[in-house]
Amino acid sequence: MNNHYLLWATGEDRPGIVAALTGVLFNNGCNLEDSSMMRLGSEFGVLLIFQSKQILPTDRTKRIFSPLEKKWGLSIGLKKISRRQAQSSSSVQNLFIIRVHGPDKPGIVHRVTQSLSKFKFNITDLSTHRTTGGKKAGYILFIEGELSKKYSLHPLKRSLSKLQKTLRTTISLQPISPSSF
Amino acid sequence: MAIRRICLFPEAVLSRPSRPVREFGRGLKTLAVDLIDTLLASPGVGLAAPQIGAGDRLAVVDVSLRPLKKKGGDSKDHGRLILVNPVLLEAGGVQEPREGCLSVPDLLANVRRFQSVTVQAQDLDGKDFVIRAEGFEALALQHEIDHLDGTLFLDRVSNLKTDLFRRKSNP
Repeated sequence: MNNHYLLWATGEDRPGIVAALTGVLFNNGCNLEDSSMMRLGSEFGVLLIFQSKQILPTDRTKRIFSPLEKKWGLSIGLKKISRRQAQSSSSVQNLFIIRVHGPDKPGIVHRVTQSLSKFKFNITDLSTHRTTGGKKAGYILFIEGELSKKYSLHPLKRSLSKLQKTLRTTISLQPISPSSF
Repeated sequence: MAIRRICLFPEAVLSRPSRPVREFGRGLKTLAVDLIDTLLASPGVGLAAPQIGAGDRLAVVDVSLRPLKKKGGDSKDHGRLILVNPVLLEAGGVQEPREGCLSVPDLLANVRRFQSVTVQAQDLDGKDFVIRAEGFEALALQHEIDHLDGTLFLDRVSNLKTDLFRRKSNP
């Protein structure tokens, strides 16, 4: 029986972190499944799911990562997850992308996500970018997520349209219809 | 005549649809020269009037300025195109190249575009013409027409995980 784990790690970015992390997993007989890594500013962050044939006691697992924490200056966390949690949901439907862009001001992400939460819109991905090249700082927010079938689209559109005026930004909502060939 | 400052996101002029050009006088010609001069001083291959702060439906495209041309790539391009009141007449096929914009220099995105387009426009004297373009030139034309409609390439990103990238160096 396979045991699934979720590991997260952050630290100052430098070459070799991924090789060091995955090396520890490989040398302990673990198999890497899904992962997402990114750099924000000069900080590196990773979330990864792996499986192991053996149960890894949390204290022992922590021990195998402690040399990495010291050598690479990483903060590492780990938790056991179920097989279901380790798998992506394949039943995601009614997907939308929301694009927001305009002058930067405090509260854009909060106001937009608050509006979405009123419609039980489940955010699956969110990405923001602050641009500083122009006279004023700009803000770009992209959100992907799923609208509950219980809610119709028009009230959500109306709500975002109202918010667009309040925030003086551009907000668009577009369905995502993946094509399969 | 003049190299003008390129407007950068989030300047409002970039989100406003441009006014159709009705008068084909000296003012329009001066604006076109400024657009060309600014384009030539930039690393881009196309520039629309809103990008230099003007609200007129005018754009220039010159994909022969492309710094790295693909070997055996686009067979022909039209060289320098000055497009007044351009409209997309027909479009077909799909391409999804990584695209940047002089007005959003921080980001790049994979944008789904038509592979070939037919564009109707007027020249600086108001004379109609129609061109058919493919590949990179078709992409540049769609990007500039988008600017004239107040649309940025950011408005066309369809998957934020796979389609959006922070630029690592200057455009």
